[in-house]
Amino acid sequence: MTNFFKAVYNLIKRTLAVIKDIFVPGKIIIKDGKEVYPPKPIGPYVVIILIIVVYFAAKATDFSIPVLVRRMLDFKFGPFSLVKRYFPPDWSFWPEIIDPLLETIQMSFLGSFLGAVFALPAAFFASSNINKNKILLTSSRLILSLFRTLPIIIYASLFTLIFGLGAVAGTIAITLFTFSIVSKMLYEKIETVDLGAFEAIQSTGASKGKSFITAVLPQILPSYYSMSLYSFEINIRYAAILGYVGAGGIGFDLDNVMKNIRLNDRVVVILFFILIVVVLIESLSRFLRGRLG
Amino acid sequence: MIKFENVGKIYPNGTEALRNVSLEIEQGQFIAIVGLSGAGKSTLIRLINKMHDVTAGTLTVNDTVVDHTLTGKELRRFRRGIGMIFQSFNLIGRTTVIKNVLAARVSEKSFFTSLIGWYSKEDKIIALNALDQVGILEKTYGRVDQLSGGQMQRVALARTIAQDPTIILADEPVASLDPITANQVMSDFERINKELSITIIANMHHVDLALKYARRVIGINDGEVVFDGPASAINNDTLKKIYGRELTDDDIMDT
Ligand SMILES: Nc1ncnc2c1ncn2[C@@H]1O[C@H](COP(=O)(O)OP(=O)(O)O)[C@@H](O)[C@H]1O
Ligand SMILES: [Mg+2]
Repeated sequence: MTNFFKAVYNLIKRTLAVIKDIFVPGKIIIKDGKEVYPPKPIGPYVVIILIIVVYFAAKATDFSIPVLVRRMLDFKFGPFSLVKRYFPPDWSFWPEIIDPLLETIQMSFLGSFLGAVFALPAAFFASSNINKNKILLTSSRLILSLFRTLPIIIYASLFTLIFGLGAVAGTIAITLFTFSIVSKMLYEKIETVDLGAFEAIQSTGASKGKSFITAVLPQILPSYYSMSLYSFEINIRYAAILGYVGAGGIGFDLDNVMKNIRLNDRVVVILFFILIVVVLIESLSRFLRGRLG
Repeated sequence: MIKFENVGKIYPNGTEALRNVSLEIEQGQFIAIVGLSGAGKSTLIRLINKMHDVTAGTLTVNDTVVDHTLTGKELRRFRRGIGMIFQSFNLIGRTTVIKNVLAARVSEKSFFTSLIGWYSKEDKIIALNALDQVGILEKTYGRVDQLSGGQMQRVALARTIAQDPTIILADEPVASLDPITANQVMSDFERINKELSITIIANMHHVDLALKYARRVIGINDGEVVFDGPASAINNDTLKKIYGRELTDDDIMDT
């Protein structure tokens, strides 16, 4: 019996030692008495804070399993009620969604293209290894991070106020969104690039801009294509919801047929076509990225 | 002519890399700068094309005073006349040999034509001639990443020739090459120096190579010039002064 208690005692002692070592690692003594002090870890504290935050977030949003289950099984308003209203779908409606669908693709293509084009010069100014002017660097980064603060749907509704309802507002919103994420990904990429060639071309008397185009661009081009295609891939999905705020595309029609009980049998048709387009564009983009990357 | 008058260099972080350097280098000389790692060789070379700024004394290169007033367009025009070769070759990866050599011409081109990567026929002829001069014309349309170290350094040399400089600065040009290739590249330098009468200033860690190819040797120890004279005047005592110790195997390429 005493052996058993001893074993438990040892186990607890060892566990406590491990925990202590995780949170406050002690010094390590190696041969000839040299001491090495490991740095204070932050990982374990981050995990604890994460657990606390998740707990409170779940509490604040009333996230409770029983409520979820009750809602799922509610035949009047739950998911099953949707099946009753959405099926059978009215497939004959499909010719009417071709135009808004094409508009959605156009918005997303044009917006992605323009955003990616503008992102290149922006990334040039926002790369700390290229731009040595502290003021220019800080201000360009500040502007880029400001652009990233708002979600795309808010930009879209703001732009409908300026440019009126329709695809122009949506396209500009997608341009801005693409610009803000591609420029960030790009300057982070540029900061990892070997600048030897850039220095060499500058030493021939070429300006920074021309040296960048000549020596840095060829190195980042595959990543740049890949980032731009990837944002096109994401944007097609965003473009499909921008219509909710009147910024053009298929979202407007989707919103309409969802709200209007008599048109509910069209919902599945629209969703099906969006699915097809998203899958097609994703495969195309993945194919091209594989080729260019 | 390059003229250092009591030139000093203190980096922004306070490191004094060069102290009271006075030198005169006539057009067409082939000079090796030798010294321990950290002695200030790279710093000296980089002052000449203003990759770093002089912090004391006066530096004059081909009648241009290289000081803080030399900036912008003027600096870029000044740099066109000075080529630079690096230990790590500093080629543009993922692209062809000819594109790398043509890159030496972008300083003369408009922003737009460099953006679309278009080069004139004259530029192409200059580039091809430069490749021919270093003997790798047959690699013109191959990718640079597929070349050997020696070939890469030749492409870099061709790039510099295509720039049509009066001076070539070479920072440890053969330190990452094997002895045989190193000798071949040094002979290229020698030939270019003779045929085109371009001034060549090469930092060399390896004393034997320096003595073999350069006619004038400048020894630097801890930021100061401790020897300046013909290669033939170098003996064990002068080497000890430059290196502050007996030579080790590391200091000799052994060919
Ligand atoms: N950019 C820099 N900033 C600060 N100190 C530097 C810089 N470059 C070189 N140094 C310092 O200046 C001294 C000379 O360096 P360097 O000219 O590179 O010597 P070498 O080329 O002979 O090895 C060294 O002490 C080095 O640490
Ligand atoms: Mg050096």
